[in-house]
Amino acid sequence: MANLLGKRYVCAECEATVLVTKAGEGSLTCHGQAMEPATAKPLPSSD
Amino acid sequence: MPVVDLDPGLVAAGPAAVGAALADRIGEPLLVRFPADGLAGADERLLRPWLRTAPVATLGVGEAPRAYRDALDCWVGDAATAGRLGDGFDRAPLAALTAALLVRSAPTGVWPGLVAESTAYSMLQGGPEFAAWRASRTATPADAPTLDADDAPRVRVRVEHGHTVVTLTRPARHNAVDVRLRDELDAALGTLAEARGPVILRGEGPSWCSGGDLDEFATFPDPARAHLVRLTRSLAGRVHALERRLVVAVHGACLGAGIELAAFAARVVAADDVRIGLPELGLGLVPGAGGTVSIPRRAGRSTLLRLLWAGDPIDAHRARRWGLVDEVVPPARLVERSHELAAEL
Repeated sequence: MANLLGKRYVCAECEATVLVTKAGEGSLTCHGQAMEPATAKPLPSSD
Repeated sequence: MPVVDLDPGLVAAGPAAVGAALADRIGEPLLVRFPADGLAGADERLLRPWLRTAPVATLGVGEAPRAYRDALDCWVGDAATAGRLGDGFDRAPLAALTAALLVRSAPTGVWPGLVAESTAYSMLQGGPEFAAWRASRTATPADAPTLDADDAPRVRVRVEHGHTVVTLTRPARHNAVDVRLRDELDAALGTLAEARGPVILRGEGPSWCSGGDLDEFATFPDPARAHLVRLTRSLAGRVHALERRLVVAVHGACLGAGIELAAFAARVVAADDVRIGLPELGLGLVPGAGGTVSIPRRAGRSTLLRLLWAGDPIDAHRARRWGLVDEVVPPARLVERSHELAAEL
């Protein structure tokens, strides 16, 4: 279920970032480990 | 009291007479109550334009004449209900009037409506009624106990019975929306916007969603920036993008953002233990999670203002009569029924 359109994946080792522009099967690997989906930029409360 | 009751004869005499009666109090946040029998005798060509631009909230009392059914901000059938709404309005007249003006001339379309709502919300974050609520809070956010494990996920996405089910997983706080729940739900719904098929939203534990987390209220950076953040992480926008294939199952507390987000969905199914309400006036605010867009679209602006001004939650059957939810089922049937409705979409 890797590679969702519009998601960013980051290597924990070297911080290389991949932006998925076409969804598909398979997995993204860098430095021998699966790349993690990048989390959204933290924003403060609006309340 | 920021409430004015107009005499039927005065209403029938038209806008000049009404304006004269209000002259000494104009500029104050007012709720003006119109008796239905007075409206029946008024010239609608004169009074309707006045009602559209009046900088006061308008409440009709009695059986609405056809010409004025949609011309006043809110309608109720009897004086006792009108009295309760007046008392509710009095808790935060600036916020209560802001809501009425916002939905009276709402822009066309969901996104423009969300921008307008957020602008009004941020304005009130800088107002005296919110400041008074803030001052009345004894516990500061830092002192408040954290009942739920802080690192536990706030949202779970799973496929069940062939449908994508998004579950709020902060049961110890009745799934109150804090920054983490907001951001996790925003990310989950954003991903689902690119997928296909029905989506079911529901809450784990005793409630679907009790609204914004009060422990985080008044932690916004400043009103202008809060407006930008609200539109950047807009759960209302996310839910609206899914609305035609979305079923929301509500139970227990369904307050503030809980009903505001649910009201966007194609189908809302309620357990009969649900309590639906808009508590925002108690904080000197208006709904800020899309409720001034979703609730008028689903049930009319009069229903939105009645719920907001009254402040008290309503039960499942009344919510069904008002059109806020589509169906009421026993709690044990809620999950099963939400899947049946998803299958029909």
